[in-house]
Amino acid sequence: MNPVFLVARREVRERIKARSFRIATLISAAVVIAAIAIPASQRGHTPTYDVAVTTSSPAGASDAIKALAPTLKVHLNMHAVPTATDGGRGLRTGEYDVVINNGVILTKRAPDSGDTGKKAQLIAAISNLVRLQRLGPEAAAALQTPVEVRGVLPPDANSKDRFTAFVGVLLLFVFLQQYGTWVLMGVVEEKASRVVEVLLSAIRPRQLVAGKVIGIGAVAIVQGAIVALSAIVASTATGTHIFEGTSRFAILWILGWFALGYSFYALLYASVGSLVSRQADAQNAAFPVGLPILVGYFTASTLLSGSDPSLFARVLSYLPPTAPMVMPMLIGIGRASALQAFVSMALLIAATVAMARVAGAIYARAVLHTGQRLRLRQVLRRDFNAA
Amino acid sequence: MLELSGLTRRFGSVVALDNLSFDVPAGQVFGFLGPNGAGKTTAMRAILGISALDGGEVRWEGRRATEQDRRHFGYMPEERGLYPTMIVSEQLEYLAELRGMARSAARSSVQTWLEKLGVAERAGDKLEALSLGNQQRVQLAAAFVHGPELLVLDEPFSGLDPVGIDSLSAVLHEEANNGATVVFSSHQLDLVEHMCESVAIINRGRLVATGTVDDLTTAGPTRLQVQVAGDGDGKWARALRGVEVVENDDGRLRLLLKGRTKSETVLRAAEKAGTLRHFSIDRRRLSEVFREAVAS
Repeated sequence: MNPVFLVARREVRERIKARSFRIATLISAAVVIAAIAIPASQRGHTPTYDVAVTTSSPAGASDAIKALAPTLKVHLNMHAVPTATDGGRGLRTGEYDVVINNGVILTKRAPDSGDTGKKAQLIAAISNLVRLQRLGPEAAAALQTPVEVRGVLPPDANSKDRFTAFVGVLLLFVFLQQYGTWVLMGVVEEKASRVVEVLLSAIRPRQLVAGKVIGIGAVAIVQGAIVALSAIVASTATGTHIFEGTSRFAILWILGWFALGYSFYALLYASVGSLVSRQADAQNAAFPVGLPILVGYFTASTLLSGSDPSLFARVLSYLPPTAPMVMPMLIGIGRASALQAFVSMALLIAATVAMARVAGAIYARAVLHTGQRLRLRQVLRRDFNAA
Repeated sequence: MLELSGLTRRFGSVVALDNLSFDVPAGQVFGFLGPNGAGKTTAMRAILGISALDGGEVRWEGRRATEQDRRHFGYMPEERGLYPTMIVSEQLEYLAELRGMARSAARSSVQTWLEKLGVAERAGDKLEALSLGNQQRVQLAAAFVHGPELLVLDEPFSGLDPVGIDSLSAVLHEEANNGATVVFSSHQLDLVEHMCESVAIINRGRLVATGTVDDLTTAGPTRLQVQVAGDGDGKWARALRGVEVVENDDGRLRLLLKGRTKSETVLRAAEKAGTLRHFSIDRRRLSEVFREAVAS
């Protein structure tokens, strides 16, 4: 069987077998389910208000108010009361929430101006109805006719795409940190335990690195799929349509950046791992690799506001180390053309291919070296005692 | 046959292998000797294709060793290492499969080797749960499990107790009898002398001696072992011209004959000196061959 496949299969098996993996996956799934289910359970509660209209109010007032219910997402029970005094009594006893008497709205306590609660929204909506009624039918019709607003530039992407892009970038950020570190630690583990010499007597360094990167990538897909599945199940069960309005294209697009970003960084982490001999040195060595991921992520999050991207962000969207985070965000907020995106992706593909060559060479030269951490210059000059 | 042909490897300014060439005859247990830092590990890595070469080539069965050939080599590095947290049998199966064995064949071979090396009952444990001695046996199994045609073992005897040494010696001879070629390095020269048909000795990356143990230990001037009763100091021998007393073990003398000095001359002199207790043709010990070769 192909050695790359065998190496990848071992990675998948050993990692999925580990208790820590199972616990981490369960926790992630639980967090996602909670994040969807808890707000949904809050949302599921539709408030009910009792609204009384005095018999002296204009005909049709009650129906007009009742018609507000779907827009405000409330239930309204309509009542008729003979006088405002009866209404006032009902307000005090809690029988009614709102009473309308000839253009005056009565409530237990008038909401203050900053109140955005459901009851305040209801009162505001009824006030508008009263105002329209005061203006008379013609003016009311004029007021209700929408005014056209035209942009001179094409509209921004919808907020859903922006949201998808941001969630994608956030996940990519977490993903690169997590699985990149796995690749790094995996390489260091093989080096520290010296098993790498036995492995390299059977297969080539490139096959070992490729198998490791693919295997850990596969584990990432499994873990990601479990979490995504939990999200879908939770959102279906609670009736929250989290993926509604998100184009399939946007998801595919993000996945493409995921795959490329992961390949680029996994190879980089593997070569960095080959330079150190001890687990303790691994974290220090990983730090500079993590920096561009961090910069890319923060730059991407500043773009979420939708304002015009800075030149800095524009530049980062083409640099392969930061492109996987910045470019999808620019696309998400509608500030990058398809051509720009493809140019950036082509640069990233080229950089990943180059990285595969360089990382393979560094790994092959450094992985058998033990003892002091190697400097990159030594590796490139082959000026040390190892393979 | 394994041929090392002009192997050269530099690390910066250090020359680890300097045009190193020697042959390892097929089906033999072959000793690979040299002082620390002589380049043994680098040469072994080069045989396995792990270490890149600046020059020369490793030949197997008369042609440059290919990747395919090397899948049929077995290797135990000096710095032992396997996955500490992996199950012993799964780990060995994995290594056998990496070397191209089918899954079912790998499984039965793992079973066979674990039984042969006496660790079968630990097959289902994680490696790190085993004692160091048992871990060493698993490491050996890792070198043998795919039925290699060539075994390259870097210091396989270090860390073994006398019983372990005996059983490993038996396994290596069995493998050689079954047609495998075995190359191992060791500093235990008496053991090598006892076990190996041929050896190569290197120093500073260069070959300094190679051949059969017989040829190497009998080469050079004639050597004798003589004991004369009552003469603990070996005065009679010191008086002889053309004879050097190399060693005196309580009256048992080891003599080196120089120039044209004949054994018969020494025999007559010994008989004259007293009652002859012992007279034999002596050979150098491998350790002596080693010291001389490395010193020169």
